[in-house]
Amino acid sequence: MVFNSFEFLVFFTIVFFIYYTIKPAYRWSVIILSSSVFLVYHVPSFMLVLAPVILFNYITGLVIESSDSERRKKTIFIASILVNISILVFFKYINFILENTGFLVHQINPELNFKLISIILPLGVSFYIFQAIGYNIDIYWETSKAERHLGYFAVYMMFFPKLISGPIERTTTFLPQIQNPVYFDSKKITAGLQLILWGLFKKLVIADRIEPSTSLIFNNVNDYHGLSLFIGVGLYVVQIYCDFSGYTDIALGLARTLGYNLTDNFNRPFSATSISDFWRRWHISLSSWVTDYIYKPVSANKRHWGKYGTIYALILTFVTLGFWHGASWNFVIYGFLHSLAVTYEFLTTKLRKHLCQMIPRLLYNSISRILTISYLGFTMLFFRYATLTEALTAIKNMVNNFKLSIHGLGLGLGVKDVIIVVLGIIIVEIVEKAKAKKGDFESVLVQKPLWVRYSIYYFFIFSIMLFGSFGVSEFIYFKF
Amino acid sequence: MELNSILAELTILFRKELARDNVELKMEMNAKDVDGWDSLNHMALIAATEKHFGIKFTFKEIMKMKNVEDMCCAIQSKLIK
Repeated sequence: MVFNSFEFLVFFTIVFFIYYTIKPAYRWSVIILSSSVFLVYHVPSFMLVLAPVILFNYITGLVIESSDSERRKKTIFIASILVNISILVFFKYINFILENTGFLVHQINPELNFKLISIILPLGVSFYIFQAIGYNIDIYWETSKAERHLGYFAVYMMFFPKLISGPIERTTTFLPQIQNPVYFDSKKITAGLQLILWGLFKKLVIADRIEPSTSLIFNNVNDYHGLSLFIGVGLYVVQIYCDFSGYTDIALGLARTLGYNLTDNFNRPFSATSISDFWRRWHISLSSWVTDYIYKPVSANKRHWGKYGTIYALILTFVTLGFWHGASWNFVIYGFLHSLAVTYEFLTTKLRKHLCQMIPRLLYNSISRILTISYLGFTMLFFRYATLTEALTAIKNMVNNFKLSIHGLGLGLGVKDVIIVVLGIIIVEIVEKAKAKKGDFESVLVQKPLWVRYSIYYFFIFSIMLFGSFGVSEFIYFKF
Repeated sequence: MELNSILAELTILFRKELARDNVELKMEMNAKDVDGWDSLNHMALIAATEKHFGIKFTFKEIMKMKNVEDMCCAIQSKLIK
C-alpha cells in the first residue's frame, strides 16, 4: 500500500474520519490501530517483528531511567543496543555476512559451502530500529525522559506516515507532540494537503517520468558509454531526490493532517557547496542521527587524538551511514567515498577559506557546487549498482567512447519527456528556494491572495493529471 | 572561579583555537552562533578546554552541553571538585 495508490487513498480517508470523530485524548489509539493495519496489509508477519521491538524498547527505556546503580544502567543500555542491532543484522545483513564468510571459508576449504537464508526484510526495520536505538541513548545520556505511556511510545515507533521510510524521528521533538491531545485544525489540514500535493508532483511528474530512462541505462551497463552515462547519472540524482523528497513531503503532509509535525529531510541539497554541506541538506534525519549517535560519541572518545580522532570518527560515521542503506559492499564504498570527501574538507578548511577570499564569492560558490554535484554523481554509481563490477564497468564506460554528441544517446526519453522533466526541475528549484526562504511550505502560500493559491493548486493538480506517470511505482527508499 | 571569569578565559581560548579574533562568547550562545565552531572541531575545542583548565569531562557531561553556559557550569563544577 504505497502512498500513491488507490488503496492508500481509501485507507487514509477512513483513518482521517475515524481519527477526528473520536475524543482528542484517545486519538493516539487510532494511530496504533491504523499503523497496525497499514503494516499487516503489506505482510502480516512484519507485525511479529515490530510489536516485540516496541515492547522491548519501552521496557528498556523505563529500566535504564529507573536504575539506581550506574553499572546496572550501563548493562541494560548496552543490552538494549545489542538486541536492537542484532535484530537489524539478522533481517538485513545476515545473508551478506554468510556470503562473505562463505567466500573466505571456501578459499580455505573448497568443499565447504554456506547456504543463504530465505528471509524478507521487514518494512521500515532500518528506520524504526534506529529510532529505538536513539531513544535508549537519549535516556542513557539523560537528555530525554523515558515514555511511561505504552500507547504513546507505540505511536512514536510505528506512526504509519513515517513507518516505512522515515523520517527517523527523535524523542525530543516527536514524543512531546504525541503526549498532547490533537485537536481538529483546518489550517494544519490545509497545510498537510498542500505538502501531499507537492510531494505527488515531484514523485509522479518528475521521478516516475525519469525512472524508465535510468532503469534502461543502469540495467544495461555494457550498452551505455560516455555522455549517455553522464546524463544517466545526472537523471538518477534528480530522480532519487524527487522520489525521496516527494515521499518525505507526502509523509510530512499526512502527519500534518493528523496534527503532527515530522522532521523535514531536505533543504535544497543541490545548492550545497561541499559534501559536508550536502549532508546537512540531504536525508537530514539520518545524517543528524549518525552525527549525534555515532560521530559525537566516537569523536568525544578519541578527542585526545587531535585531528586523527576526528578523521577516525568521520570514516566510521560515513561508512555506517552508507552500510545502513543496504547489505552490499557498494554501500560501504559509497559511505567511505563520502568520508574521504568530508575528511578532505575538514583538513583544508583554512586553505579553502583563503581561496574563497581570493576569488569572487559567486565564482567560488559556483565552482564548489559543480564539484560537489559531480562528486555526488560519481558516488551515486556505487549507490545505484548492486555489485562492484557493475559500478566499475559504468565508470570505465563513462570515460571510454566519450563523444560530445546528442545523437544516439538512447536515453529512452522523448522530446515531451525532456520538456516536462526540465520544466519540472525549474519549478522544483523555484518552490524549494521559496520554501527555504520562508521556513516551510505552508508559509510560501499563506500570504498569497486566494486566487493565486487556487491557481497554484489547480496548476499542480492538472500537471499531475496530465503529465504524471501513473502505474503505482514504489518509492526508492522503501527497499532500505 | 566565577562563571564570568570562566567565560572570559573560554573566549580567549576559542579565539586561539578557531583562529578568529572576533569571537565574543555569550552564555546563551551555541555552536550555530559562533563563526567556525562546528561539529568537526567541537571535540578539539572540548579537548583544548580540558587541557587549559586541567580538568576532564565525562562523556555524559560532554553530551549534555547544549550551550556556552552549560560548558561554563561544567568547568566550574569540575574546578570546585
